[in-house]
Amino acid sequence: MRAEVTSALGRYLLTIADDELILGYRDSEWTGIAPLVEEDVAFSSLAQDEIGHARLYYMLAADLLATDADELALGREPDDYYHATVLETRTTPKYDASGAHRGGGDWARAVARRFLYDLFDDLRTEALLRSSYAPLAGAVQKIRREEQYHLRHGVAWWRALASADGEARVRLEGALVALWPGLLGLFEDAPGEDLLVSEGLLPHRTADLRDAWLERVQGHCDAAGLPFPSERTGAGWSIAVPPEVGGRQGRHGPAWTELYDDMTMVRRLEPEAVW
Amino acid sequence: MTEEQRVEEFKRAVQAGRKVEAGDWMPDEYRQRLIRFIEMHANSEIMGALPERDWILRAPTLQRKLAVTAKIQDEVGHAQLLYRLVEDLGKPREQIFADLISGKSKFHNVFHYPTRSWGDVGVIAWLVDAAAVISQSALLKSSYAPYARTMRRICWEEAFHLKHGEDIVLTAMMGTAKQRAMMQEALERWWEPLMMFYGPPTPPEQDKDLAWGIKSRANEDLRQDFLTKYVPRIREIGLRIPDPKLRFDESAGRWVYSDIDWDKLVAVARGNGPASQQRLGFRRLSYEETAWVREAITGGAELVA
Repeated sequence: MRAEVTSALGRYLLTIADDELILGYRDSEWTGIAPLVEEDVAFSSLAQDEIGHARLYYMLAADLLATDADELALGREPDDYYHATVLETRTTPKYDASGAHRGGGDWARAVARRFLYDLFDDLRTEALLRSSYAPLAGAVQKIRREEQYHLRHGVAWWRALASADGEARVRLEGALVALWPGLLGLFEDAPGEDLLVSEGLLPHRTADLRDAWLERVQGHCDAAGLPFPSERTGAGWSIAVPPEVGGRQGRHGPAWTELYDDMTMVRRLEPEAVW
Repeated sequence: MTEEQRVEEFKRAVQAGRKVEAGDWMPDEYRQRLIRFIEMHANSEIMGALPERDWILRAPTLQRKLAVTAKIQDEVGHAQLLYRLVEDLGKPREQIFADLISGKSKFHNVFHYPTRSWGDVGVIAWLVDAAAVISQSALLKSSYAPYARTMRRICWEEAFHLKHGEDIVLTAMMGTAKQRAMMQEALERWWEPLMMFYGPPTPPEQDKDLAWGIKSRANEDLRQDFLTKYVPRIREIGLRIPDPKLRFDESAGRWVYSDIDWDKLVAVARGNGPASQQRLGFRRLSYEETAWVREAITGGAELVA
C-alpha cells in the first residue's frame, strides 16, 4: 500500500473506532443508574460491545500506523479524535463528590441516539464487508453479528416509548429534534475517503450512505407515528436544518472536553506506566 | 397445634438443616428477617455500583475499561436477582426503592465511603469483594433455599472480580513509585471499613439471623477467616497494613487487631458515612429522572422487538 493510502485508511479506521468508543463510553455511564435494573444489564452490554468493536478497529489502525490500540484510544490529543459530535454528549446525570450532582439525564435521548446511530452503523458496516482490505472486511463480519442484537434492542425501546402516551412520547419526539443536526453530522466525510474509494478500499464515501439511512429512519418514524424531521422531494431529500459537522476534522464541543479529561485522567498520571 | 408450637417446630427444623422454599409456610418473623436481610444485600449491590461507576470513564486501558464496566454490570445483575427474591417474599420493587432512596432501609457500610483514585478500584474489587465472597459463601448454607441457590451464581461471578481487582493492584505494585503509593494510600483508607465489614463480634447465641439459619456463620468467625486468607497475600505483594497491633496469636489461634469503633459503624450504616448522603442523593436524582420510563413501561408499553 502506498504511504498516502495507508495513512488515509488509518485515519478512516480511527473515525469509525472513535465513533464506537465514544458512544460506548457515554452509554456505559448508564451502568448502575438505568431506569430498570434489567436495563442496567442490557444497556451496559451494548456499551461493552461497542468498546470491544472500537478496540478491533484500533488494532487494525495500530497495525497501519505502527502504534498500539490503547495509545490510539486513550493517548491522543483531544483534537485528534474524529467521532461525530452527536456521540459525545452526556445523557446521564453526573455524580459530584460534594453532593452537588448535575442532573439532566434523558433516557429517551440515550435510546434514540443509540438506535439511530446503529441504523447508520449497520449501513456503514454492510458497505465495509466489501472492502478490499481483508482484515477490515473480516473484522466487520464479526462485529455485524453483535450489532443485530443492538438493533433489536433499539427498535423495542423506540416502539415502547413512541406507543406510550404522555411524557415518554414527548421526550422521544424532543430527542429526535434535538439530535437531528448531530445525526446528519455522522455523514461528514473523513479526509481521504475519495482516495480510499478510488483504490477500492471503500465501496463508497460515508456521505453516500445518507439517503439510505434517511429512508430507514423515515420508515421507523412512520411505523411509530412520529414526526420525521426531513422531507422527501421527488428523487431527493429536503433537509431543513444544517448538519452539525466538524467532528470528523477533530472539532468538538464542551461535552468532549469533559469526557476527554475523565477518560484520560488516570493514564495521564503516568503516561509511560503499565496499568 | 398452636401457632406458637408451629413456629417452634419450624425453628427446630431449620436449625436441624431443613431448607425452606418460597411457597412453604413460614413464621412471620422469619419472613420479615429474610426480607430485611436480602433487601440490604440487594441494596448493597446496587449502591455498590456507585463508588465504582465513576471509574468506568477513567479506566486507563481499554481492557480495564471493559473489565470495570462488566464487573459493575455483574453487581447490578446480582441486585436484580436478589430483588426478585424480596419481591417473592412479598415486598414490591417500588417499595424497596422508595425505602432505599428515603434512607429508611440500609446498605452495607463499605459503600458509604468515597473513591478517590484508581487505587480504590483495585482495592474494592480485590479486598471488598474478597470479604464479600467469604460472607456470601457462608450464605450457600442459608435455610432459605432460593437465597442459597442465588448465592451460588453470585459467588461464582465474584471470584472473577477478585482476580480483576488483584490484577489491578499487582500491576500497579510492579509499576512506578507513584503507582505503588496510590495503592498503599487506597489500602490505608479502606482498612478500617474492611475490618468493620462483618459487623461487631455479636455472640452467636444473640444473633437472630443465625438462629433462623438465614446466615450460617458468626461475624467474628468470618473476619478471622478474611484475615487468615488475605493478610499474608497483602503483605506478599508489598503493601503495609495500617494496624500496628495486627498479629496472629499462635496460642489463641486467632488474629488480634486494634480496637474497632463500633459506634462509628452504626453511624455510617445509618447514613452518616463520609459519602452516604451524596450517594443517596445521586440514587434519588437518577431514580427521579427515570421515573417517566417506568411509568411508560408499567402503563402498558411493551418492550418487544
